[in-house]
Amino acid sequence: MIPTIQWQTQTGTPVTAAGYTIRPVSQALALRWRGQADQQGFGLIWNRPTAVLVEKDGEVEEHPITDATRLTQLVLFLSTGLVLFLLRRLRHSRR
Amino acid sequence: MSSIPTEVTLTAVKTPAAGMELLGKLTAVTQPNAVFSPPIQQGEYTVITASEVAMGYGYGFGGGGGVGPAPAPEGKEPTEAGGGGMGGGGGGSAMARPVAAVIIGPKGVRVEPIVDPTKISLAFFTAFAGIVLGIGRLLRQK
Repeated sequence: MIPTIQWQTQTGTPVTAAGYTIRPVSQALALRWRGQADQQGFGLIWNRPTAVLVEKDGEVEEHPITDATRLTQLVLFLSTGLVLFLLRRLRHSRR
Repeated sequence: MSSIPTEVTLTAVKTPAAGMELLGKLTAVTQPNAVFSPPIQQGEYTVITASEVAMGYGYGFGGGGGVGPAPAPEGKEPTEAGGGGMGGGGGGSAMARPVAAVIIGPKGVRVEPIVDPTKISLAFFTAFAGIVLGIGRLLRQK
């Protein structure tokens, strides 16, 4: 059986506070697999907030949500990979 | 701010269909309301926490049966008897990590990121160790 992959952007229930209407937006990745006759299966679901839509006096403004922790981790690992790649190039050029 | 599971829930289901129904409830995790908390009001400010949610699960059922000769009293023809059984199991885990706080106040709406210093420290030390090892190899080969 082929696994089902769903990638969806959804808007949640609006919340009103201090004259603002906030609409949460999230992105969810769902991977599901069911074996023959549903006798076995697995699933993975990853849901992350992406933005909030702020509405006041008929004007809608989007405030993106950045995952600072994930971004920092990515920058650290990518820069390490780049440094290691450059070191390897340097080593090969000296031979 | 930890992603270490602190609670284990055990649920017994008697049929595969009941198990499937239970797993179907887990799809609620894909909804936006699973990542945005209900608003908390404090004075003039209202705060909504936005979290990243991830979960995984797996399950399996199996069964079998057979027919064979049943033990018969001496002098009598052996008869055939059947038997079978089934079993199954499953498990899963979920984690949630706060990503940002949406603060609604009299001056407007702002999104404040929530940083996990433990994760960043671990990533920093892993990256640092990788670079040190790389330089060490380079120096050894001179």
